[in-house]
Amino acid sequence: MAVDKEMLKEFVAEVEDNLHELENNLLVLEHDPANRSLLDACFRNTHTIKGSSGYMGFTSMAKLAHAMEDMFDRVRRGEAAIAEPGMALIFQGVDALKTLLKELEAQGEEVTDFSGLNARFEEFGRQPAEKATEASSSSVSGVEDSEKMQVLEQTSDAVSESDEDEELLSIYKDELKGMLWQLSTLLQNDPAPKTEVMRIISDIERMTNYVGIEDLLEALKKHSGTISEWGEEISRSDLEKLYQDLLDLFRPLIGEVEDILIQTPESLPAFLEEDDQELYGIFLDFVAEKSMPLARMPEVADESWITECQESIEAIRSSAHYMDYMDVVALMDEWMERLTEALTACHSGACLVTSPLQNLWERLQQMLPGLMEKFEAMHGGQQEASIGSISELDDVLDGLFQDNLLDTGLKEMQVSQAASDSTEVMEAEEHEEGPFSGNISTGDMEDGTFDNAFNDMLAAQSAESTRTSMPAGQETTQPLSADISRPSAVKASETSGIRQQTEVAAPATQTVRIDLARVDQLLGDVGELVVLRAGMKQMSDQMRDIHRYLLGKGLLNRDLKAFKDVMIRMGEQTSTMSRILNHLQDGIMKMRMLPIGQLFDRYPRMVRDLSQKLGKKVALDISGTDTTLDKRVIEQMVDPMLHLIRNCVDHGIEAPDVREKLGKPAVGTIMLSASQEGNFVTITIMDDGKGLDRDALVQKAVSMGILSAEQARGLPDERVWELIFLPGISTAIQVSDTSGRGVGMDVVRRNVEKIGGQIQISSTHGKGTRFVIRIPLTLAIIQALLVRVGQQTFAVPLSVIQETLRIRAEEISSIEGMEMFSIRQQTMPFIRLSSIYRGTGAVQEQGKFFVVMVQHGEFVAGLGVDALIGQQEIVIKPLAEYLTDQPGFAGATILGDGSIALILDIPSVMQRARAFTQLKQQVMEKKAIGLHEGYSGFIQ
Amino acid sequence: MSRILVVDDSSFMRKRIVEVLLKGGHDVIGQAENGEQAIALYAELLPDFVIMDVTMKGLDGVEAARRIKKQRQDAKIIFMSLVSDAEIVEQARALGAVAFLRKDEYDRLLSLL
Repeated sequence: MAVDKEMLKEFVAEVEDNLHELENNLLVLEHDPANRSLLDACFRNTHTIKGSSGYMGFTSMAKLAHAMEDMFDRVRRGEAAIAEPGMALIFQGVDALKTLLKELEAQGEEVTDFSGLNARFEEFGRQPAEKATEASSSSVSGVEDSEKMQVLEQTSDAVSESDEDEELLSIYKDELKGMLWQLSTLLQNDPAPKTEVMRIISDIERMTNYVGIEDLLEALKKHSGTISEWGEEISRSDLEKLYQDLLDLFRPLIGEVEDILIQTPESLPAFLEEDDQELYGIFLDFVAEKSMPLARMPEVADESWITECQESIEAIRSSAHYMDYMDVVALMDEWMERLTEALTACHSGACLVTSPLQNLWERLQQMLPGLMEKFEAMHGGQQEASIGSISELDDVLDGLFQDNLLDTGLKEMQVSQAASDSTEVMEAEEHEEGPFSGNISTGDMEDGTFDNAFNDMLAAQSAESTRTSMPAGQETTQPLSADISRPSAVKASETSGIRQQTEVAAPATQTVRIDLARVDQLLGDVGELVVLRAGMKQMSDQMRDIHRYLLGKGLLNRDLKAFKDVMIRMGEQTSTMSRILNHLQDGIMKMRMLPIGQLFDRYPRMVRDLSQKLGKKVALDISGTDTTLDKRVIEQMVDPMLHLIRNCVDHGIEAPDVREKLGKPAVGTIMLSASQEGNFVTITIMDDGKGLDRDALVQKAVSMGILSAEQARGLPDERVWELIFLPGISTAIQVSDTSGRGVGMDVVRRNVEKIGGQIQISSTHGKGTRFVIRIPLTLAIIQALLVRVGQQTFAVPLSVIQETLRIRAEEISSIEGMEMFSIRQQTMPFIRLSSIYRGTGAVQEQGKFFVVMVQHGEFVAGLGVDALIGQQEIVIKPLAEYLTDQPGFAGATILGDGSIALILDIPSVMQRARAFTQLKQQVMEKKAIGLHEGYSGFIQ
Repeated sequence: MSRILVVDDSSFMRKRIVEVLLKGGHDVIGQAENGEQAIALYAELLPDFVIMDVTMKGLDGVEAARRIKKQRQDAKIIFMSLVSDAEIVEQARALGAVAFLRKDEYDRLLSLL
């Protein structure tokens, strides 16, 4: 049986959620065994998994979930307790379910055999619970023959009670007959649609699988294999043969089936004789409601009308099908065909005259007595009413705007003056030179003061043209929007709210799962719009310049009125667009955001297992789980966090007896917390264990030649802790079964830095260790400083910039071929971007350089650029594949004028800085011990 | 064609049931994922049928059905569940449910609507 991909996805998602919840519930339950609601929750989790997997026909999973559900049920009845070894078994069950789920996700089928585990579950539950099982099953069979109730046993169980099986079998037989009958009805069609046949066959397959009759299943699979090779339409003779084969196949089970053979459902006259007039009435209502476009036929068919008709016909057809009015169904099919023809004709330019369609409507009326009356009653006066109310609303709006016009006229004058003032300020600043803040503020101005002034002006203006652009009116004119938009918003939610829509659920848990790639796609599109917006903003700025120029040329305000109108409207719409875009961008970004709890939730189980294994007692204290973070960032953080927490348990927290001797509580604590600061999230991992061992670290570093003993002695603690991030140190110091598997702290840091984060460590011997990780909220949009090198614009992520400054050429000196400069007693390499990225067309300027000071880890360097352009939020676009091999670029972004700026990959640029630092160290060391090149020296 | 309220805490199962109902030409006018929602929606929508799961977070299906029945004697409730506990089935019968079906008995379900 082929598994529907979409359905499998949904299934996996749901089971994943339930497993996750189950695991967390279990961890709490373990410490609070009396908690009934947690127990119930665990029961529900396994119950749901059982149900869904049973439905999908994943029997291993269903059996396992069932066994676990049973166990929880026994605990609920007081027949078992939450304790070892049962808990261990349950956790094994969880792991097994996870394994199966992974297999299903990857391959669509269950691979690993967990029957052994199943048996252990069974065995575990058998002794104390035997009586209860017997009692319940016998009472179920006692009630099943009641009149209206249909009591059915569940089937996918491992438990094999014989009367249960019989019950199941009889249902199966009934169902089988039904399916075969359905198949026989298809025999009336020649040819029959393959999809229908396949549906029936796979239904039979599923049921057979359910009851587990293997040989029948085999035979059925062969059939479905054959059918799948047939064409989309199945000829009558083929179908007849299939039908007979199936009858033969099932004869031993269900006997002769003559009585279920072809029964043509009586068509139309039948329904009139039916006593269920009420049902017919409802059907008629429905048809009348839907047939508006069918009756109201334009002379020439246009596309939108055809689409409308198709929708109506689809709806009527399906309810007619339900009512078994086969004639109506046939008519609808014919109608649909005609419409499809009409549509093709429409596309080819020859729009069809609708008169041939007219008779279809008449035929429908003949078929359904009373339809015309209903139709008239329903669609009589409706249209006029709605038109009336719209024009009324229009009047009200007119009145509202009229009142505000005078006011805004005045404001406009003042504000536009203010706006142009601020432009001048901005321009003036652009020519200023100086440190980072001064120059960057060009960008600030654009986002801040200037923008505000501009917006204010537009806000005042927008009333004028609100009717042409409603969103503008709602957004910008605050007092007005309060009056207009609210009532209409309320109305909208009244009419289109929860009631009609399918999903109604608790506000907290209502979610939709979206493929991350799709969100990224949307974000990309919005990025394009951002570019367009910037272009439009530029245009409207240019228009203002032209306006000022024309005024300066002596043209009068009066003469320029039309131009000014356009200018203002353009500005207004740009600003509106800008606001909506920001909303859109925010909204989509938020879609990528997940609470960090999803990351933190992964660790309690790990801590539990590990501490048990090591004989330690550890409490994991988690806080700040609501902090949201980009999903991609979360994904990147899973492993580094795992490593750090594992270290805490393994090396940080001492054994209980040791802790007690030290006067600490026997249970160690690991704190995991998160908080947001601006565009960054800070994650803190802290333990109250033994802390780092300074001597061991120093010793290791000296023996590896990273430090001299001399240097080590004077090194402050913070610098010593940093050593742990160097390659080879952490792995050498902490070799154990759980940590030290070749992945060291250097890898942790590299991973954190890869996503633009930083990690800091602090430790007090005997008291504990704390890691503070600072990572960006998102990887998709960053704040960047745009710089110019030659004709090329580069973007430098703001997160790595320390400051910007200007230096004179004389300040640059050269050591061993490497340029460097000093500022505030700090010497750092000077890297000319033009020398790294050739082809920028940069002229080696003399005189003054702009320098962007960047930091990566402990290395600092100054990047030499020709000009600083400004600070901007940029949307990162991945580079084309053939470019990703090129080191030095982290991506690209499109600028307002449509040009492309490459985003510098600072870590790779800094490789040069590292090389420099090493060089410097060597030189310094040699100086320190009195060694110079070419000098043989001696050892004291 | 009936107007139906579907109550199940598993969105996966809910979706399957809704698919079946829509295919059968029925109108799913509301969905709920626990008993509280079911009761509130019932009062608001007055559906022809409620298709009710038993095991749910919060108020369970049987209790929800009982309260709905208290509000309206003629409420038609069909249980669809994997639970086959005799006691629960008996409770469902006692409170006047239309049927108690296994979760995949869609054809039987359609025949009742």
